[in-house]
Amino acid sequence: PAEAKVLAVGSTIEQFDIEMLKAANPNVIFVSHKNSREPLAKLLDMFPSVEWVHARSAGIDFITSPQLLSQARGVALTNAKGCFSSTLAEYTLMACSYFAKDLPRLLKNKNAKNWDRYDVLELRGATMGIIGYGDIGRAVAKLADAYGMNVLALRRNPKRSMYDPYIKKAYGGEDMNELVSECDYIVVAAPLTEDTRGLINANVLSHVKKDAVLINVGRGPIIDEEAMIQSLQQQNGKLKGVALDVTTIEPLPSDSPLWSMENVLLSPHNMVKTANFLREATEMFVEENLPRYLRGLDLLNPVDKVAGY
Amino acid sequence: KTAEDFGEALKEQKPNVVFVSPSCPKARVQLPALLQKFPTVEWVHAQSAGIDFLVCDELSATTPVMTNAKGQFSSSLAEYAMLACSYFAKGIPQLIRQKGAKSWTKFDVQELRGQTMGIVGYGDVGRAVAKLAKQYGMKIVALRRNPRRDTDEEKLCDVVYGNDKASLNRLMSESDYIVCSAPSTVDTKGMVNADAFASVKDGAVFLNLGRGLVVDEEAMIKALKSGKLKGAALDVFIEEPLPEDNELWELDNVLISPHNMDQTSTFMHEATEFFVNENLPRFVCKEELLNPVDKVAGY
Repeated sequence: PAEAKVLAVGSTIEQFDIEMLKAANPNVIFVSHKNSREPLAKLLDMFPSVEWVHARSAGIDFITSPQLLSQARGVALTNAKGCFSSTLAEYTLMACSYFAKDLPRLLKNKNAKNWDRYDVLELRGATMGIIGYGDIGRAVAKLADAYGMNVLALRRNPKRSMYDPYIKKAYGGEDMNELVSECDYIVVAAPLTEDTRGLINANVLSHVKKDAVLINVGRGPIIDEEAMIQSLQQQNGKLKGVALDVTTIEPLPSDSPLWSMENVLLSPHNMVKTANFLREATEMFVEENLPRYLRGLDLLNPVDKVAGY
Repeated sequence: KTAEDFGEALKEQKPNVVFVSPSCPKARVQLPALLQKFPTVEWVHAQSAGIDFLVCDELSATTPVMTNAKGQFSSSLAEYAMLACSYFAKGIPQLIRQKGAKSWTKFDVQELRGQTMGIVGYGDVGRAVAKLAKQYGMKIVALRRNPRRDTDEEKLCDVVYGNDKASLNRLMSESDYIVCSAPSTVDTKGMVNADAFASVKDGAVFLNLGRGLVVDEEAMIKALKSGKLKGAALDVFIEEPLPEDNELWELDNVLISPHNMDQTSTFMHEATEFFVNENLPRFVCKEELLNPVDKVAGY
């Protein structure tokens, strides 16, 4: 918008001309860089005139700081939720079918030139549980429902899904074990917060259905990676396979057992990375929220700083 | 398994229905022989969607009506079609290569949303694929013998062409993903040929879940090797099992499945149920049978 002006762009604090900025009184910060936590906190300290921070991503776990979250300071925080949902829904259903049609077996057979006919599973009629029912969870539910899957959701406020046409039943956090015991496919689509870190632990994994598939499109640390690996490898482990677009440490260290496990589909946190995604997420800021800010209207996609998402 | 297996004594019971499965070897020879032996037969039901395993001049000359199990296999094949499209859109071949090399390297992926799927042969399977692809936000272009046949109540297709050569080439040039789901008939043999592959869009992906004979396999292999086609997902082949010396086994950008993408543990059971619970009662009550097929047309 004509009334808005970009004062500076940088990825480290050294790249910003502090004196110039102090005189210009910036009121908005747009955050995109993955190492933004420290520079952002410093900028917030240096420029009390900043009222609003917009994150170009859906997750804000990588930019939080006391300065950003301070209730006293009251900086508005918005994000790009909703911009990534469609492509992640596509990935999620693909990951389900990857195991339903037993692609690991197909690929092994191809290498051996082995024509080995086996039965495949259908997603139709199978049960999917979605942990974390935000924009991404909803987009996944919609597509899963189109496949004829039974979709269950686990969310902080299950009552919010009372009239959701894509969900058969919504569970609260305390019913996690019950949820996973009913699912053929478990999708983690939650944000990373204090409450979700390590949420999918050994105890939860011991309750999953035999031959369940686990898919993570949220954040790596939500799943206890050790426990997950054990569930895949051990005799009495229940997991048939996992599809991970996110891992606890990224890039995934080369000594992680996940690299050499057959029933693991790994992607380098790129399942949202379409040619357009950066542009579309930025467009959301420029064409939707910036005009709203200038006109004193409510901003889209406010983030609940207390909840962390 | 053969007409001889059925004794003369059976004639006294005047059998009027034959149920034939594609697992019967040499069914193409045995069925007409059986029909000649038992002229009381009025109806033949095939336990599959494709009837190409039965079609021949001798069969065309017989009188009984024929029905098949179309529609019973469509759902699983539609799921496979979307998996195959996403397999290439999300770069699974590259993911697998990177996994083998323990390489964590980000690359761009594609969305199916907004892309165009061209469906060659718009029967039950084609329609089931279109229905699911539409849920992904894909645009659908279809090719069928009778483009004006208004059975598309759901209006899934954005465009429908007739099955002439120019139309096929046009569909190939407009599609990001081409799904071949046509039956194998005299008219469709080798239909997707060198000309068709020469017309494809850059980066197009080809799927065959119909019958191998509909495609000129040599021409397809050429298009795959030259990079004209980004990749192919094939559940059916001209020769099955696919011979070990067939080049397709060695191409990186080909997903091969052994004609099992509709083979669920229940599919035969469900198809048989269809015969027993749907058509058999209709036959007994002298009502119109479901899924009639044209023995001469071949589908």
